[in-house]
Amino acid sequence: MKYKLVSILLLSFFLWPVYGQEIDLAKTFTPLVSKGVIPEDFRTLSKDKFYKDKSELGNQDKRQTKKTKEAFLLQSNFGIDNLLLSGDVIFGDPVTEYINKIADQVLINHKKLRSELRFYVLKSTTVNAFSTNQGIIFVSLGLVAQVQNEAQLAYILAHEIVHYTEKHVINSYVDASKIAKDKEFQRLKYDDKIIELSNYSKEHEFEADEKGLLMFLETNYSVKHARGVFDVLQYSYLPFDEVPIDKSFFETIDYVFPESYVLEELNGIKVDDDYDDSKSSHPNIRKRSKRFDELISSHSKDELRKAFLVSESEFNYARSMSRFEMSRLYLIERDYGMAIYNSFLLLQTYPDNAYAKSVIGKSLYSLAKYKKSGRINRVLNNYKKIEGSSQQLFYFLSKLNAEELSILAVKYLWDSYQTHGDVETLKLFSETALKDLIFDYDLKFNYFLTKTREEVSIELAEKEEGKTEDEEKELSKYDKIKKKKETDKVVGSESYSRYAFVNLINSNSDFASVFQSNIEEYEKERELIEINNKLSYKEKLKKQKEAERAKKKEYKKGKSFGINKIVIVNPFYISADTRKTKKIKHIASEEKLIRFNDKLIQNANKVGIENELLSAKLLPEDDAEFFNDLSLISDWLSERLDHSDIGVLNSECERIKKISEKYGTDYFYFTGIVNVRERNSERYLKAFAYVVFGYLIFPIPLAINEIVKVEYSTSYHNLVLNFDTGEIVLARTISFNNNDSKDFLNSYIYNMMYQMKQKSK
Amino acid sequence: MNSKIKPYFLFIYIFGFLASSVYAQVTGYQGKRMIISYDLGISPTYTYVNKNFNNQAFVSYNDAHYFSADYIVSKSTTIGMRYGLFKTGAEFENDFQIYLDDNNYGYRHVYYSAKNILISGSDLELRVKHYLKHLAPLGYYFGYFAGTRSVFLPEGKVETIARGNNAGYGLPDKIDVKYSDRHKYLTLGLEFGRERVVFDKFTLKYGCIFRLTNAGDLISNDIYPYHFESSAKRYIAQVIDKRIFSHSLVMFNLGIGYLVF
Repeated sequence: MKYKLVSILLLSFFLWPVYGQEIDLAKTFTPLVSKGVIPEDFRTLSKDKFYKDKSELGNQDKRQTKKTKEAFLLQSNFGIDNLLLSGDVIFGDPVTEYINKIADQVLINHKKLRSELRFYVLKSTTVNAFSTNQGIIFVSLGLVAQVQNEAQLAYILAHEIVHYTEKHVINSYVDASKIAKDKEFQRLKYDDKIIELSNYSKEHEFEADEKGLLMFLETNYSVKHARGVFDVLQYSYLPFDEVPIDKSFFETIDYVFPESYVLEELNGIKVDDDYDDSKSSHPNIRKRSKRFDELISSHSKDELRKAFLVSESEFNYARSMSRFEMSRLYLIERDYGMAIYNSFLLLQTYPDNAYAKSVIGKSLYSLAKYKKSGRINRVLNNYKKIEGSSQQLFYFLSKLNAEELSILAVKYLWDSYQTHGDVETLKLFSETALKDLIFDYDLKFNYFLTKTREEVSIELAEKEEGKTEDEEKELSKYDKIKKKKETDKVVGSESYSRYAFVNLINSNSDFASVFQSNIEEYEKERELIEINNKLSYKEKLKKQKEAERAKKKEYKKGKSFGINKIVIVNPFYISADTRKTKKIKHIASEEKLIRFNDKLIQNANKVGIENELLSAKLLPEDDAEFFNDLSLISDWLSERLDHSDIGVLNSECERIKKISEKYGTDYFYFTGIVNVRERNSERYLKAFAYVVFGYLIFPIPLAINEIVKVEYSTSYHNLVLNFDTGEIVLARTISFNNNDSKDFLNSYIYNMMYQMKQKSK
Repeated sequence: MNSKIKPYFLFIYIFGFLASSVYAQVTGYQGKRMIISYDLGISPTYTYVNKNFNNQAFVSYNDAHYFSADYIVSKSTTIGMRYGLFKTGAEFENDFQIYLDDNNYGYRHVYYSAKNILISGSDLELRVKHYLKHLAPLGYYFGYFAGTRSVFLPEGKVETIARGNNAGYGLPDKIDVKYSDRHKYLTLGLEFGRERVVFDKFTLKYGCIFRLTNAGDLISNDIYPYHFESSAKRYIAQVIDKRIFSHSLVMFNLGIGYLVF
């Protein structure tokens, strides 16, 4: 009894955080972040990893094979490190922890192997898991969001572990390069070459399936439950659930969309599991599942096996977290249709979740902005190509015009904000969307009706009641047309938008006051525009010239920003040699990056600009927050650059503002160098010219220099962003045909920092 | 205004204008804008002799030493002063006829026994350099300059020995013509080259300078008619002019500088 009590206490202690966060999910969601000590995989320099792996190669291989393997190790170490440090990989979070626990179960009889392997979660919407030669296995959140049970995850891990133990990745590389060098292979057509290489890759997949199953059978996971993994893979392109959605999701009693916004017939799900896999690296699902079924046919003791060995609740929590992350990732990737549908699915389980609502609101707001700019195709897939229930949503979104979408976004955001008043992001987006609605579409407050549809209908009916039949007969044709138009304005199908804010205007005083203050601001701006329009031609010309002069002055003087502090984010350095087949010089790039980081700091200090360097190559062991900041900034930047000049608020601007506050500046500096060594094609001509024009003898050293010197081109990229406004403060690329020597770089870096620091006179 | 002073004002005006028109943001190299430097100038002797009176085709050269101070006035422009010292030689022809007196009373051929004269000179120039692709003082530059050249001839004499048919017209066989003179020239030129910074403090450069002097107007003048001695001096001046004109027409330079502040 005593032990039982202790066990319960211990269990509740361990389960508490899990359940605690489950309760949180009902209200909101906090994006996954890395926690704890930053693993060595992230902190060790890629070149050190490469040298270590290279030293372990041994001498058993032939010289050519060894060379190929070295080339592979170089590329894979640097490639994987790029992924690890991209901010898309997380560690120490609940999902990664859970995956590691499953790995412990799968490798329960393989202690040594377990110590070699590391499992990380990849923030990606794709349904995927992959293994590396270095012993790192990545599992995407997209996969965790789709699986039905722990056994499926365990089978996937076992499959990936076999890829590692059998060294499939490196062997594929070596064999592919051998095949590529084969004379018969070289004679093949391009398509046949792909098929040849794919066949080889498929053999590895079957081997991983088979040996993975053997490893899986060593555990106590249920085979029956794991079998479903093939369905997961087959339908992985669909959202994590199939729930019908239509316009009614956005409607209220008064705010009702026309029936024409509903697609009468939806596309079915047309996946063929026996698709042509001749050019694919993986065998098709039918072949794989058939092989799986053959292998387990002799296995008959599945009743005692379980779908969950770690914990079902932990599985549910990890999967829910992953599903919420999907919404976040779709939003960042600007796949707004999927972001809305994914969040809609989450609202089926968590109807009061503010995060899911905010994703829907932000997506509608962004769609409206993109539709207004005429670039909707970039962010909303063609509904005809969508399969399943979500097609209705895509159709509905494609039917709405920019103004309708904007009204819907304002309504959805304000309704959500009304329910979740403490959610800062909802406030920010509600106010921004409302302002944009007024400024972009010139809509007055009185355009929107304050009475309900029912009240308006009653009013109209009462008006009609007071009229006699004679009065009605006396109406002319034109009076009747006018009357019909007046009625349509308030109850016609096209007037539905006018009812969008009935509830908000009547129940939320904030909404009305923000609306009015925006109208006032808009009127002031319009007045200024009108004054400008009334200017005489001479005055306009004068203004234009003044602006041109200011622009020229700025061009000559350079910009001066008066920035006192900057955060230098993840500088990059690419050193390449276009004369070689392996063009990127990975090791040199990394070494130069380290020096570039130093130069940035030195020059910033010399200029007197306060600075902080957030470089993925300088990760402090015990500062996961440093890594999380980098990850968040990376997401924010990619979204911001994708938006280009659309003028959309970034989806995570409230999180990024916190980063600004933390570092005490709004200015974040993204920079990098690309240095390319090129073929000196004109060297003899130049040398000849030197000798001929330089009186034959004295320029000979210069001529020799021209012959032996190497051509380089270097570009220095600079981007300074204001995280408060999202504005691109400075975007400049300096290119020059010289090597990246220390003096050139110092000169340009100092100059760039100087421009940031100087104040305009 | 004195016509000799006029050109200087013109230069000051031109450079002053340049300095005021380039108001772009100036950083220099890591904030350092003042550079002092030393340049070794090497120019081919062509058909002339060098300071050691050698004239071996493609081997003999003249050297010169330049000290300059340049100030970075815009992203890619420097303005500076350059002071240079040089030595070279001039060679007289062995056989030359000069007139005996003002009345053109016959002439005589002379030999110069001391046929070489050592010429010392100095340049003082104001220059502007534009760095073509990079921020000053880095990369390829193109410059132009103007200034004065002072040439000093050390005191010496030329022995003349009568020969030929005119010998013995009551003149001594040997006449010593003394010379000691200072010559002033105006210089104008272009230069180009490449410069880089090492150890964040020093600059290294190599380049080429094309310099013209206004010595050309004397070259074409005939010596006739002059008194023997003045005629001889005139001849010497002519030789010096020719030498000065050719001395640094083309000069290759190697330099080292120091970024002061």
